[in-house]
Amino acid sequence: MITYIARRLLFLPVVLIGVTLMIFVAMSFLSPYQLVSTYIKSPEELKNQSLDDLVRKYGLDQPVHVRYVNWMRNLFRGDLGYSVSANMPVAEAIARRFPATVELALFAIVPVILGGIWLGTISAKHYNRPLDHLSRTFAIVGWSLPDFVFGLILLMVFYGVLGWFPPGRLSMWADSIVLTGDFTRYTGLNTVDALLNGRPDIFWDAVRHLIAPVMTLAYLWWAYLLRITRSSMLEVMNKDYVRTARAKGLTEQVVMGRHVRRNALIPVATVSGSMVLGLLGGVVIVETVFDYKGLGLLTATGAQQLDYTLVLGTTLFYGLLLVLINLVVDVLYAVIDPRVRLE
Amino acid sequence: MKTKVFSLIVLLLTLSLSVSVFAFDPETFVYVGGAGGPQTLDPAAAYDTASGEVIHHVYDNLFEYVGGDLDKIGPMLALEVPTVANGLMSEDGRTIRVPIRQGVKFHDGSELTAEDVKYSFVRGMLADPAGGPMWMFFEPLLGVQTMRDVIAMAGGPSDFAEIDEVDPAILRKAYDLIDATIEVDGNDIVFHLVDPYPPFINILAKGGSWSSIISKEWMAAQGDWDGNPDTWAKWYDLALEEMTLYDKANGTGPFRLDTWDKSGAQILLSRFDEYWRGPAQLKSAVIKNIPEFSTRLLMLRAGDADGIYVGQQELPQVRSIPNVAVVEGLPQVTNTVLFFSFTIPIEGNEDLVGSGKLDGNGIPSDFFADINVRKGFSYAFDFEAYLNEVALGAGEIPKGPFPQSLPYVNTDQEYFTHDLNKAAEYFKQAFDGEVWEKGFKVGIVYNTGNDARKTALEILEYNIERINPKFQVEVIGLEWATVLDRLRSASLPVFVMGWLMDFPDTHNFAVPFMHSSGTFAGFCGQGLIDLAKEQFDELIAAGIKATDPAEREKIYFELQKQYVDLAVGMPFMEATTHRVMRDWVEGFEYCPAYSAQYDLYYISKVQK
Amino acid sequence: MVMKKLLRNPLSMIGLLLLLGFILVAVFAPWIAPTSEMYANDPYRVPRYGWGNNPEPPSSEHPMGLTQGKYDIFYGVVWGTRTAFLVGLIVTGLSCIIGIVIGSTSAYIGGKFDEVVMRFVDVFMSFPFLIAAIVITTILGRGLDKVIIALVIFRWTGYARLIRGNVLQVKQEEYIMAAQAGGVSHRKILIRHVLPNTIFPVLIQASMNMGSIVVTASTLSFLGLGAPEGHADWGQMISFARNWILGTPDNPVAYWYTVVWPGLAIVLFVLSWNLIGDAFRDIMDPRIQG
Repeated sequence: MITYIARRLLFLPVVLIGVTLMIFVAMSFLSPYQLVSTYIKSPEELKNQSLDDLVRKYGLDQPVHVRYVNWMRNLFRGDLGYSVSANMPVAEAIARRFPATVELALFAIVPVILGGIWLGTISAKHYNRPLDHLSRTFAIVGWSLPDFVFGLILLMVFYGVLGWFPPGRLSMWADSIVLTGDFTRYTGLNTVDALLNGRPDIFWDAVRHLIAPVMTLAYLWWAYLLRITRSSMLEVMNKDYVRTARAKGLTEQVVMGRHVRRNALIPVATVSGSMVLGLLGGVVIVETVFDYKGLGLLTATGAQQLDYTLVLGTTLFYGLLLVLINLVVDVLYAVIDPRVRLE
Repeated sequence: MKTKVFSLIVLLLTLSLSVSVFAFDPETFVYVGGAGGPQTLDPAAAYDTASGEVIHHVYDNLFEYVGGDLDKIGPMLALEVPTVANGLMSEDGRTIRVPIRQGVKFHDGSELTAEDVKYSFVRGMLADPAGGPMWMFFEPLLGVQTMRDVIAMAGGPSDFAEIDEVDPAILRKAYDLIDATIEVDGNDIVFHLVDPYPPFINILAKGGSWSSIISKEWMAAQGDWDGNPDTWAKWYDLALEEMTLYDKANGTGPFRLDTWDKSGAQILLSRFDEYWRGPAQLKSAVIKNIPEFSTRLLMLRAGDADGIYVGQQELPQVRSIPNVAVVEGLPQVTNTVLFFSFTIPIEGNEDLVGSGKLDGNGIPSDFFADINVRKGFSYAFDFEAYLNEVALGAGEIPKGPFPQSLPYVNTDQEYFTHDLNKAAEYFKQAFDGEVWEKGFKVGIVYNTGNDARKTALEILEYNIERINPKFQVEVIGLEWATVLDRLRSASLPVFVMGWLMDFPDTHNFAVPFMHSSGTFAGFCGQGLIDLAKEQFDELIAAGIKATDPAEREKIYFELQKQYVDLAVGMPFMEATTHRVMRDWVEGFEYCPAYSAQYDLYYISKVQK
Repeated sequence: MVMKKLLRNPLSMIGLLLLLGFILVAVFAPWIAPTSEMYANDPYRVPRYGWGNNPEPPSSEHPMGLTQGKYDIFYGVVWGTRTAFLVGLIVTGLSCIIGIVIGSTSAYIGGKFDEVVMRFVDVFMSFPFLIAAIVITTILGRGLDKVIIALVIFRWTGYARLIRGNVLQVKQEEYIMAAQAGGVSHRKILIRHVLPNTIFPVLIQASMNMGSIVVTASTLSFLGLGAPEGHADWGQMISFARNWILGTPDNPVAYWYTVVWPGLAIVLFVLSWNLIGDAFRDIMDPRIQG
């Protein structure tokens, strides 16, 4: 197993170099004066400035390979560069935004999995009967809804009409305590930090801001988990030992709970790994609609402003995350299920 | 399990409701903008509205506009406004003495001195970050545009890559040149201008973030330049984030900068209790940025925001909201102009110029160098339709390149009207009738995301295509980055841009629109540069040097007439602006020169 | 056999009917929503009725109303159907072809070559998809062609992996070995023997992705990176509704038509593919054959 892990880790630099190289190749399509738009962001900001001076100042006229080498050199010194669109060093931007994304992912994963499994179980139990069709249709509609439509609708209902779940990460009052008061930021996760600081009010405020984005994400992902749960449950239900259990006269509830569901959940567990990854990569639209300041929103904004140092930094980070999480998932899977052999 | 999940949800809902009970905070003002956050808080580098917004509250200037009136300049950190009459300004307008107010405190508790005032401007000029506003000091004080020019004046190169390549002796000489322009005399500051520059006082007035007063001692304590004539180059043209004042501030303004929470895109300000005019009524203020309009609107409706940014086109949606006040028709000194490129490169530009020939499938490089083509375009535009339907009546149709709210603008100047017959007449004369006979095809460009500009071009398209079926106009949206790139090579045959004043003087419009080295001339091709050199440059130079108002008026009337007669460009809108706030906001004061949406010093909140 | 099963299942039946409806709309678009003379050279350009900005409710002239910018919603929805099929088909087609060619060749040749190609695929897959698409469209500029390029660049890898797995299995079959031993050229083996036995699941998978491609394309439009303004495109129609979705305080659904019609179009379109796809997966899933 150790050689397997080592081999996978050896592959890490390849991915990272490949990813960053691709961005630089894409960058080479841009002229220095297109890149100036990172500094002069809109026609309104175009004043009595010399574009040439800006190009010279920020070295935008350097050939792409020179910039790549410089960037690599700085990377080895631990410097990811400065992000103009985020107004801070790239490393700091990631360090600040990533906890927000982690928090959203953690809160989303629970209802996504529970709801998906619940729907999947209903579907499997009532295979090809109206309740199966109903729960599948419900989930597939969610899957078919573009997230920006559904997110905006939720925002309208739960904030506009009811006033329950506001956008952002914290209310203004909580924000000012977190930013300026004697509030220690241990993790950057508002909910966790609030509890650690003994501020239940801030905890609930943070939770309140998470509900609507989590609802959006959950409805989008349920169809996926429903399908996995349903088919693996159906598979298990056809297995001999389940039939035997039934024949023994065990109640349906016991059969389902003890035999079927437990075995059917192994594939769900693996899928969850890739789902967490998807969530951590940043959910651009949900973050945009709910003004939730996470990694996805940061990167999307940066990309649109041609802030390539930021895009490089975040994709590098994401590549790293992807390789590591995949590795962890694979290894865990092998540990849980002895039939799986790592190769 | 089902019941457990359900009860958990119910629990969450109740809890969330219990804290969402709305609390009115009379001492905190929340403004939510949407067009982007500040780039830097350094007065020497900031040149965008969002940055100016914050700087406005934290720093003071020497002068201010009394009651927001652009014609009424009053003292702020100065004791008096210099005029020839009160003897503070010399007869020739080149020496200006400004007595400095005593007893004013910076946020760190230290007291303002004349030395601080001098330091503020000298340090800004020496730092001169590329893309910044410091040209406004170089031009009146030394007759140049950048620090590079000053180094060249001192005998150095102007095309150096790094400043350490320049001989230290020359750097010292450059410093001396700048140092000599501003003199400390006891509690007074004396400016020595290279030529008279009537709007110099305006440049120093509130609203000009570049002329904010900073503390010399505090800067030195932060490790910035301490005034040593030989070390300034270390702080020359740094990246924005490397500058000391990038996200720190120590001004004399009514609010302190608490935090610039960059990851939360918000700025937290708190009242400065020892403010020299007495403390503000608000205890704190938050300036946020949320690009999504719907989110901003909901915050306003919920009362979480006291004021939000609303685009002109979204105004109809906020007018009917209860407890929300919409103040409309606020004058601005700005215009929106349709530009023509006189010399368009053909190669690599085929998507816009087609064949590059006058054969009905494109346009030649000098298409817009023909005055008849420009006039044809200008008479084809439906100014009224744009004003009434797109801008919803919020503004005026211009009379030339200078907004009519400025002095020295001839409001009786004859201007283009929507007249397709006249347009046809000019098109028939263009290129000796060839244009009319063969037709043309041209791509006209707006930057994507700007719906109003797109519509303006569509109005033009619709009307020009009605004149002659052989005329083909295609409206093309390009990303801002691409627009910028192609502007630089004058590649856009027709494009729309606007200019928002730096300081309220006609000169500030004459230069960008008409001078051969102005911002827009370069985007309009060599053809316009040549024309400007021949006909406009001298007049513009004479206009700014003239101290007699009657003489200035004559010059600017002439410039305005020439611009319209030659149809150099087609200004089509002078927009007014508006504010959208909760009706509990009291003390709203407006000044067209201020970047700040609300002058927080005067604001208070009173629940109705 | 498959078709029969699809028709028997009520969900896929609904999906098929919906899809048929969309195909009809796309084919007969010029008759359903005729192009006005002014825009005759570009029928995909949605006509504007006025230069203003405010939406207008449905009327006899404009059965679905006018959205922001006075664009005719009905026209946009009808011609947007063509855009949806166009984007879906081109992206699916191109990425499928690229994926199949690269994936099958890589698997068939195997060894070091396969290893290198797969690492290459891994690199592509290490980008968060939407962010990658945003980067590409920002760099290339606005336009549907750019959206298509961006989607293809990051979509082919999935198909390449899928077909690679299948080819690796088939490669071991005796008849392939026999063909190789018999001196049949590799290209012939790949095209005649390997692909026909491996391509089907990939094609199914690809057609099932039509829905998500259309959603992604419309997401880019929503972010202002998709179709040029005024092009008949559902995503853009919804982004026009973005600022109006909240209605007025006294009437939250004052501008319902701006979001409902294009929203309905896109949801039903995607739904039809997903319903069929869901049923398909049931049919294809060997584990559910009870």
